[in-house]
Amino acid sequence: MELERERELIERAKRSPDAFSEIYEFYYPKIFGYILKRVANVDVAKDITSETFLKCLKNIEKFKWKGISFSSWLFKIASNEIANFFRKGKYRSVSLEKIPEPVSSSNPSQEIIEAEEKLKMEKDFLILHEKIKKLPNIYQDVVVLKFFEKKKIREIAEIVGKKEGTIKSLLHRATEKLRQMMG
Amino acid sequence: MKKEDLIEKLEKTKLPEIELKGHREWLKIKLIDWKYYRKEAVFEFLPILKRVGFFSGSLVLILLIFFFSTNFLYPKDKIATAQKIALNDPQVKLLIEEGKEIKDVEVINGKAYLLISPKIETEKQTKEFLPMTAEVQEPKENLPTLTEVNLKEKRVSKIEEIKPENFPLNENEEEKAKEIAKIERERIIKIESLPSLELMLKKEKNQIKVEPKEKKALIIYREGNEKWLKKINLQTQEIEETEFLGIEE
Repeated sequence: MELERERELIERAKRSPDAFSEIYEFYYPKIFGYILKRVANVDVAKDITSETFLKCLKNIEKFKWKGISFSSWLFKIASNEIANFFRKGKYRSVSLEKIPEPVSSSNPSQEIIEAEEKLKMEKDFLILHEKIKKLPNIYQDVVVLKFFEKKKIREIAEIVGKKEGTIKSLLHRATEKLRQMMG
Repeated sequence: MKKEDLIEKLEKTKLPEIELKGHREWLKIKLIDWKYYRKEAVFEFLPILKRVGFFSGSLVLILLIFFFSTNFLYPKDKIATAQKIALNDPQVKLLIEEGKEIKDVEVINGKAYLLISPKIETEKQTKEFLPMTAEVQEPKENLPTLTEVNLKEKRVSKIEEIKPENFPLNENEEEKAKEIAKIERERIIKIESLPSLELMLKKEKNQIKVEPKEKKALIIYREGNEKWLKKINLQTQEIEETEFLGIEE
């Protein structure tokens, strides 16, 4: 999405569901994909994605174009929610429960079952994920953002709120640890 | 394992590409419903309550809730209800699975009308109906639909396909198109409407009308024994395209 277009949409999304809808459609696959690569569980990824977008919408009025792009801001919310999940060892989308009963355009449980089946087939990814998830959370953040999401160092720095130099050394330490684990 | 090998592994491992279309659509509706149609209408007034004191503030709030529930919140709540009813209908579910989305909703006389259109995601994607004269007709699954929801009976009562024939050119538009194209009357074989796929709902005299955001005209005409076509944009008053159609037999 072009920066100017995104800027205009975010401004309008404060009042207009159409504008929010456009932003949402653009970012949903990216955010869900990122969370799924972090947690490797479709059901949990679905809940964290819901919470991420709810927090985004709750705070969209506060978002200012200063030093951090909208994309990085959204990934930052997702990263914080993932960290919450790992801290508690479980995840329940609490805020969304307060909103009235869900209605889906397809059978949600069937959709999850099918997606889980599809995920099980990605053996190489799952083996790698097993190792990555043993790393400290900040290492997981930088590894997934760099290698799976193909983010630039500057973007990772924005997302995790650290300097570019720190990201480089975190990446170095994370890959070193991972290398040792892989034997 | 060498570090280079690890990095190569990290960069080249096949990653899961999973989509949850149902969740995506459900969450969008839920969030929009929450943000734009429910929360703000009532809770935006809480700071006023603090400022004017609890007792008089409560009175203000009650009056505001009464005002908004009758004038503002009520129809929007109906819109949310209509969307929920529609999304539980198997035919509507199918439309959403085909990649369409709810573009507009209007409520009138106890019925809600939902405009469900194909998503226009890329610049390259066509933004118009296929012309009526096209050899390949519009694939059925690509047509927008107007879904009628009976709010009292809580069910979808009608689903109608919207076709380009629904938006013919009126006399003025035809005249304007001829004028822009600068083609003599006797050379014109046919003029037809080419409405935009971007549609909107309009309330008019207790009725809901579907209207295209933009209308173009296609003029098919003779040039000697050749057949040509011109696409006229009636809004910008420009000729957008000229195409050779073949030799007349």
